[in-house]
Amino acid sequence: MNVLEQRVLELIGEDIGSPDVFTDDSTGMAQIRDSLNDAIQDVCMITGSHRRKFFIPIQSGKNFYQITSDRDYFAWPVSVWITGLQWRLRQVDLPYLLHLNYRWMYDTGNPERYFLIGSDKLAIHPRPAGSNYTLEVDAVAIPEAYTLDTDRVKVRDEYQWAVVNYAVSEYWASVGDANSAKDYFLRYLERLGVMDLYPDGYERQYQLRTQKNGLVSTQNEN
Amino acid sequence: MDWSAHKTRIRRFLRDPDSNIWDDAFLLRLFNDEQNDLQTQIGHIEDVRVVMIPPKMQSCYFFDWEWPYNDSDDGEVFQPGNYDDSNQYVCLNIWEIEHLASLTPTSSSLGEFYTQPWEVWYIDLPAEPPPVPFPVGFFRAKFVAWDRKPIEPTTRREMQNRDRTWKTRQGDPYFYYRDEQISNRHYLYPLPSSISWTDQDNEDADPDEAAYASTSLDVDDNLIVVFDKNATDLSADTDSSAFATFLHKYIEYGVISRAYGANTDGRIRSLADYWELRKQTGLKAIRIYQSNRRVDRDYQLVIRGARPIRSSRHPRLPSTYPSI
Repeated sequence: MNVLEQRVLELIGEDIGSPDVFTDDSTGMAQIRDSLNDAIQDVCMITGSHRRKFFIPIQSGKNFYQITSDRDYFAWPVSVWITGLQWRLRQVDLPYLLHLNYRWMYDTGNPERYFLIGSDKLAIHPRPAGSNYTLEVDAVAIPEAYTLDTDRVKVRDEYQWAVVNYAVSEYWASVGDANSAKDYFLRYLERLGVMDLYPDGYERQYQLRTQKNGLVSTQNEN
Repeated sequence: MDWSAHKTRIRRFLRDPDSNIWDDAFLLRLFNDEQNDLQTQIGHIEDVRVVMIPPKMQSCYFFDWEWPYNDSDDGEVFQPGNYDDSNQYVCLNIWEIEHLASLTPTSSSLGEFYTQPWEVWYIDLPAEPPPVPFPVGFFRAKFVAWDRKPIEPTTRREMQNRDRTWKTRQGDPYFYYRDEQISNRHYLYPLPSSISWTDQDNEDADPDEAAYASTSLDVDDNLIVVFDKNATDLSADTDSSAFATFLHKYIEYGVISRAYGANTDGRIRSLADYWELRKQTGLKAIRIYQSNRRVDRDYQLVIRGARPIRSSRHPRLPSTYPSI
C-alpha cells in the first residue's frame, strides 16, 4: 500500500501492519483506491494541477481531430503549439469562424486557430495543405486511476491530506455514519481551499464582536 | 467505466451488495435519469460526426404494425409511401388515394418512388425527398456543412412558401429541415445532385477515423454535423456513459442519494443528504472545469474606433513589396 492508503487506514482505525478488512492487495484495497482515485481526479479537475502534452499529427485536408488519451484524460488546453511552424494557435469558437469566413472549411493553409468540440475533439483552421506538422497541446489532464501501490500518484504534496480526507469521508459513508462522512468531506474542501463549493458554506456569517475582556473572533453558523 | 463497474461502486456505498433492497433495474433507471439530470445542469455533450450521403437504413416497412419486426434496434428503418387512413392502405402515389375514394385520379407525382433512401440517386427524379438520419443521440445542431459549405436550418413550411418544386429540386444543398422530433431524420434542400459512392459503409462515421484510419471517409460530398448529444440510456452491463470518464462519479452520487431517499427498507435520510451534498459540490466542480476550457482564449478590450487587432499571420503586403 502507498503512503496515502496508509494514512487512510490510520484514520479509520485499521492496523497498517496487519489490516483485517482492507488487506494489502488489489481486492482488499479496492474501496480505498477507488476513493483515492476519485479524489485525485476531483482535485485535478478543480485545481488544474496536473499538466501534460498531447501530440496530434495534422493531416492534409483534415479539420477535425481526436485527442487520444491513453494514460490520462484530456481536460482542457492551456496552449496549443504547432511544431514546425513555431507558433501558437489561438483558441476561438464556431461563431468566430463563421464570422471570419462563412465558408471556413474551404480555407487551406497553415493552421492558425482551433476550437474545442466536446471533451476530446478539436478542429483547426485553416485546414492544412500537407501532412507536415504536429500539434503540441499543452493541457490540463485528469490522471488515470492508479491500480498498483507502486504506480505514481499524480497529486501535489499539499493536496495529499485533502485526498486522504476524501477517502475517509467515503469510508464513513460506506459504514453508514453520515455525520463523520460529512465532517471529513468538509475537511477535504477546506484542505483544497474551495469551501465555496460547499452549498451550505454561503450561509455562514462571520462577524467580530467586542466583549469586556477584549476583542474575540466568533463564528455564527445559521 | 461500464455499468457493471458503476453497479459495484454504487452498491458498496449502499451497503447492499446482494441486491436485498435495491435491485439492479431500479439502480439502472436512477443512473439513466441522473445522466439526464447532469445533462440538464451542465449542458449537453458536444460531438462532431460525418453523416454519409447516401443514407443507408436497416430495412423498410409499410404498415405501422410491421415496425416491431424490423431491425430498429440496429439502426434506422424506413417507412416509404403514404398511409391512407380512410381506406387503411399504404399508397405510393397520391392519385391512388383518389382512386380508392372513387374519384377520377388527377394528381400526378413529380417523380418516382423508392423503398430505400439510397435508391434516390439511382432513379431520375424522386417523388419525395429522402430522410437523412443524423447521428445517434442527436439533440440539436450547432453547425452543419455539406461538402464543407455551411447549410442553414429551415422548415418544411418555408420550403413550401419558397419553392413549388421543393420536393424534387436538386443541386448543392443550402438548407436542412426536420419534420418531427421523435426521430433524428432531417431533409436536405435542394437534394444533392451528385454524391460519392466510395465512402465506407459506416453509420455515424467519426471524423477521427477519417483522419487516422486507412479507409478514409471524407467530409467531401458528405454532411458534417457538430451537435449537442443526448446522454444515451445504459442497458447492458458493458454499456458506458457518454460523459467523460472522470465525470461519472457525480452521476453515481446522485444515484446513491436517490436510492437512500426512496421509500424502501433502506431509507436513510442522513445518507441521502450526504450524497446529495456530494452531488451538488460535484456540479460546482464541473462548472469550474467547463469555465476552464476557455482559459486559452485571448480576450482583448478595445476602445471604440480603434483599429481591429490583426490576428492573421498572412503577410499584409506581397513579399515582393517594397522591392529591394
